Amino acid sequence: MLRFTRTISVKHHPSGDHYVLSIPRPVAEALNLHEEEGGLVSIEIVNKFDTHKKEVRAQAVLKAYRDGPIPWREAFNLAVWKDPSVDTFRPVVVPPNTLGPSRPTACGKVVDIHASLRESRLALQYLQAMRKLLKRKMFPHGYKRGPKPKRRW
Amino acid sequence: MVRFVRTLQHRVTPHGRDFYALSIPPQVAEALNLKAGGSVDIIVSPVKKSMFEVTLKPTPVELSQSLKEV
Repeated sequence: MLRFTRTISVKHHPSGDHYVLSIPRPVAEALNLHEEEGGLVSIEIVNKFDTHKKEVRAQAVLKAYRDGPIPWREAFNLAVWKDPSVDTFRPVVVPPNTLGPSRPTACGKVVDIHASLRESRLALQYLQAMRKLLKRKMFPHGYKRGPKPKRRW
Repeated sequence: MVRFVRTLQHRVTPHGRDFYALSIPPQVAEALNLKAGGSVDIIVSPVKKSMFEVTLKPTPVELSQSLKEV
């Protein structure tokens, strides 16, 4: 086990406080991110019970982003237009947000209402086009729904 | 469990040494009771074969005071 002590430095900005921690090289090696030009790290807050002090203490666990669960969402599969036998929805990786306001990153399946609506609209368009195609195939000379309404005057 | 993603920045100092820095989200600093900054212990412990767990823990008060004196 290796133990290092470093200081978290704070910089006060109008947008909020920025915290930076210097990471020793052996830690970067343990994360397997020492050879590349840095890399993505996931920081997880875990609450652990301290048996000596009888209290719950928060600690942060660092992992290389590629080693953790990658967030994904369901997207309409455009390949379904050419090959209807493939799945209508396919999993798509959600890129992590490392810029802008600090927000947590999801694990596993992500439910985004705007993206879901967009994908559902695409799926509906596909179903409507398929229905049109089927109608043309079944009724090549036109399709009339019921008798023509009679003129009243 | 709350998870944040940040980029580990790598620079080479004019002396030719590697320097790594990690931005810490304010929520993590708050959870570690280090809103005003302070020292943390970075613990690297082996988990599985060629796998390590890296943990950040706030340094105990007595130790951080003695570190300040040094």
